This record gives sequence, C-alpha cells and structure tokens, in this order.
Amino acid sequence: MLSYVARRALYAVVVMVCASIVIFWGLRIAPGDPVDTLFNPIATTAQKQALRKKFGLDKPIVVQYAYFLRDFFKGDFGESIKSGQSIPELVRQYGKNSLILVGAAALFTYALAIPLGVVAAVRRGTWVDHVLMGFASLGMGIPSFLLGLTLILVVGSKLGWLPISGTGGLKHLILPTIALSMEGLSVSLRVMRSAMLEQLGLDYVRTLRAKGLRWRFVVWRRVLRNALIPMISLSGIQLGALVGYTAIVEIVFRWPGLGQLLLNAVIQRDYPVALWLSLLLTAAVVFANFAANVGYALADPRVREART
Amino acid sequence: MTELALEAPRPRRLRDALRVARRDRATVFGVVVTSAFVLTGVAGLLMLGVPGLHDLYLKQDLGAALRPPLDHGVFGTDPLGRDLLARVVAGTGVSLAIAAIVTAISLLVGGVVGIVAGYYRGKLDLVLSGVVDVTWGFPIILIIIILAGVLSPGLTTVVLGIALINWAGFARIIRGEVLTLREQEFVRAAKAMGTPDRRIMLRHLAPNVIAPTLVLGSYYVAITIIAEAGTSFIGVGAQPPTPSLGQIIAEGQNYWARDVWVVALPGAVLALIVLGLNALGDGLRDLTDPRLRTRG
Repeated sequence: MLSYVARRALYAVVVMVCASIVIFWGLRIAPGDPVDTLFNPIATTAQKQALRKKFGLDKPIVVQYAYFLRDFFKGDFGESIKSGQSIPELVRQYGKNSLILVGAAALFTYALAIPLGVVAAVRRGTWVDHVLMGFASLGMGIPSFLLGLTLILVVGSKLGWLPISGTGGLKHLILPTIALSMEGLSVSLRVMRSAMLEQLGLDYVRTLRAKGLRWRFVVWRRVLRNALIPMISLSGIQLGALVGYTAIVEIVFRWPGLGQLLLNAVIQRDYPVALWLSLLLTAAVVFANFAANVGYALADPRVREART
Repeated sequence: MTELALEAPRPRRLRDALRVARRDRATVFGVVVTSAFVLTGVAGLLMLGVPGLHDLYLKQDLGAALRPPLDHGVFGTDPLGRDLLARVVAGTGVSLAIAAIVTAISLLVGGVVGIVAGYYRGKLDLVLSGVVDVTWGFPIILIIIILAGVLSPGLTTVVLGIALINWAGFARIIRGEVLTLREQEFVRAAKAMGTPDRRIMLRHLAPNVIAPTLVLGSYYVAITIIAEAGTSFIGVGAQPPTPSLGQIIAEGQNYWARDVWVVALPGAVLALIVLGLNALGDGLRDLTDPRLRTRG
C-alpha cells in the first residue's frame, strides 16, 4: 500500500516537473513579446528595455527558469503584467469563486448520480431506468456551453427565475452548477448503474438474500459500497474534467473564476498569470488524480493487498 | 468436428448483430445521424477548399442581417447577414476534418504504443504504461487553453491538444486487448513458427483490436467535436474567417434573446452530431462486447 502511494506520488511529482518545464519554456518562446502587447506602440525602446529588465525577460531562458524555480521556492510569485495585482492575491480572489463552483458541481454530481444510478440498476428495464438513461444520453450530447446558454435564455431571461451572470448568493450559483455538472453527472450515472448491475449479478448478493436480509439493506448497505469502487477510480478524471470545463462555464456565466482568469491571461499574453495559473490548474488536476488513485486503493482491499 | 466448432460462431454472431440492430432504434439513429454528419461535413469541406465557394459562407450583407429561417435561405442569416445554413455546413466540415485528423493521429500513436507495450511487456511496458496513465484523462479544454498560450490560438492548437490526450485512451484499451491476445494460441503458434515480431503485431494483433477501438473511436470523435466547438466558442479555437459551430454560436449569443435561431440552429446541429455519435458508440459496444450483449 505504502509503495503504491509512493509510486503514485512520484508520478505526480514527475508530471508536475515536466509540465512546469514545458509550460515555462513554451510561454517564454511564445510568439508576441508581452512588452509589445502591453504598452502602446509609441513607447520608446528604452522604456521597453526597462520593462523587460524588470521582468527578467532579457536573460537567457535557462537562467529565467532558474529564477522561476527560485521564486517558486521563495514563495515570490510576482504580479500580473496587466493589472499589477500580485498573483497570490488574484488566486485568492478568483480561486474562491472557482472552488465554490467546482465544489458545488461535484456535490451536485455525486448527490444525484449515486442514488439515481442505484435506482436505475435496481429497476433495470422499467420506465424509471429508461428515463434516467435517456437523460444521461442527452446530458452527454449537449456541450456545456450550449446548455449554459439555453439555461440563461430559458430560465434566466424568458422566465426570469434566476440571475444569469456574475457571483452573489446561492441563486447565482444554481445555473452555472447545472451547466458545469451535467456531463459528469451523465457519465457518473451510467458508470454507477453498470457497476451496480455487475455487483447485483454476483453470488454474495444471493447469499445475503438467502440469509434473510432485507432487499433494501442488501442494496443500499452492501452492494452500493462495492459498486462505489469504480466511481472512486473515475472521480479523479471527473474532477479534472470539471476543472477543464469550468473555464467555458465561467465565460458563459461571466463567473469571475480561475478558468476565465487563465483564458484572459492567455489571450492577452499576460505571462506571469498564464504561467502560474497553468501550473496551478495542472497541479489541481494531477492532485485530483493522485487522490482518486489513493482513494481507490484504500477502498478496494484487493488493490490494497496486491500492491503492498 | 473441430472445424465445425470453429466455424459455427460466425454466422450466429452476424444474425445476432442484425437482430440487435433491428431491435435497437438508438443504434439506427446513430448510424443515420453519423452518415448525415459525414456527408454534410464533406460538402462543408468542399466549400472550404474551393476558393470560388468561399462567398457562400463569407459574403456579408448587412442589409439582410438576422433574417429568420426560410425568409432568407433555409436557416436564415447571421448578425452580419451571412447565410447561416452555409456557415453551419462549413462549420460541420471543420468539425469533421478536426475529428478525422485528431482520430488518425491519436489512433496511430495509441495503436503503436498499446500494441508494443502489451506485446513486449517488461520494462518497456512499465514506462509506456506510466506515460499513458498520467496522460489519460487530463482535461482537454485545459490543455488547449494552456497550449493556446504556448503556441497561439487556432485549430492547430486544438488538434494538438486533443491528440496529446486522446492517444492515451486508445493505447490503454489496445494494450489491454493485446495482453489477452498475446496468450492465445494463434499468436503463440505464429511465434513458434518464427514469425518476426513486427509481422505478428501488424498482421495478427492489429486486426484483432479493431472492434474495441471502433467503439472508443466513436466516443472520442464526439469528445473531439465538443472540445473543438467549446474552445472555438471561448475564442482559442477556430479563428475567423474559418467558421466553426462553436464560433457561430458565440457570434450569435448576443442576439439570441430576440432571434433565437442564430444559436438554436447551429446548437441543434452540434447536439445532434454528438448524440448520434454517442448512440453509434453504444450500439457498437453492444454488438462487439459479448458480455454486455448476453446481459441484454
């Protein structure tokens, strides 16, 4: 178990090191000097040179990378070229909104997918199952931005039930959460259903029934726990997908989160922000995968034992 | 006797397949929609490829902006007075081309890695599987945004970003298939006869992984189309004048409240394509995975 976790952690670290090199190197050689896009074209060469010096852009790239590592370990993340805000401040400000949105979407996904997946499996072939699976197919077919726009138009504008953009109370959270979680919800629902079906066909279920345990107890207390294992191993990818899609949903709902911040930094060539946010979001995805793998090993004794 | 036993399964499988297809309307829907998608896409690519036809989807007529469907062309016109049907067809062409290129690249890379890793096993497999493991499942949208910063926004970035992730999915399932195939008698017989490894991998292993690859392929084409539309929607994908379904929707979103079709029509086409591809994938899976088929 410990060596399994250690190997996973090693993977995660290796990925982050590779990603940091690729992202750093890539952003530095990217077309378009940030100094050019930043100031009006009439800025003098001397002014530009001073600015380059300020951000260390005049040094060789290997030296710049060394600086970058030094800054990272010193906790000195620099500031946005555009707004002059410090990166940690930006991350705190926007990150809170992103965490709220992704957290709400994850909660919404699992709170619905697990019980509904169980119900669909138990009532396989009935209308309940058909309705749920039809819903899951639809949810996988409609891209999140399209769903978001539809929700804005129908629920927000035409019906006027809910606010359609920006942050605020719980009400502002509802539509973006639905738009963000629909795809993952559909996938999770299908996975949960087939995991339940797989478990329900096994001998131990019959044994438990034969022992006289109530059907409901068997399903919700015994079978469900085993069927959750594939869900746990999928959860890393699901959380990663949420981090990816959040950029799109944030744009649609003008939700001031990290995805939107990264996207704007990329389009405006705001180096420091693009660099640190790319790394931060990559780290979030890598960590989610690591956590899911460890969770999977903890939950499944076969994995736990086999990989000691 | 032995020969009979070996021959028997084939016709039964075919008959089963036909029966399932007849019974399963969703699969038929998937086949029909996918075929329509390919035909429309080819028409769109023709429009994109022949310079004389560019006017069809690019010619602006501000006097005829935002005309409703059937009033001015079948789909009406967009906010700049361009023919919406022509734009949607051209955008479908872009979707098809991107899907084809991405799938070709990721299938090639994933196929080679999967077969080599599964066939040789050992240290090579450990390394390759490690790479696959950390690549698989990385969010495509995020990698495209990061790549757009590293390279520049555009369809090349989109293709690269999706292929960079999707190959690992193919490698994963192909490796799994090869692991069981390599222990089977026909592979061991080929090996015993001294068939070179390359020939075994190409002639004996590759054809046998086609079925599971096809299933994953249709899901991945759907994922590719969603990712292209989504990134074009937020501005890091297709750049004007190249049309894309996502970009057409983005251009229409401010007019949607009044002129619903400028988003609804391209949106419906996009959703239909994805639904069709997913239905096709489900149908293929039911046909090729005997475990799922017997459980009905």
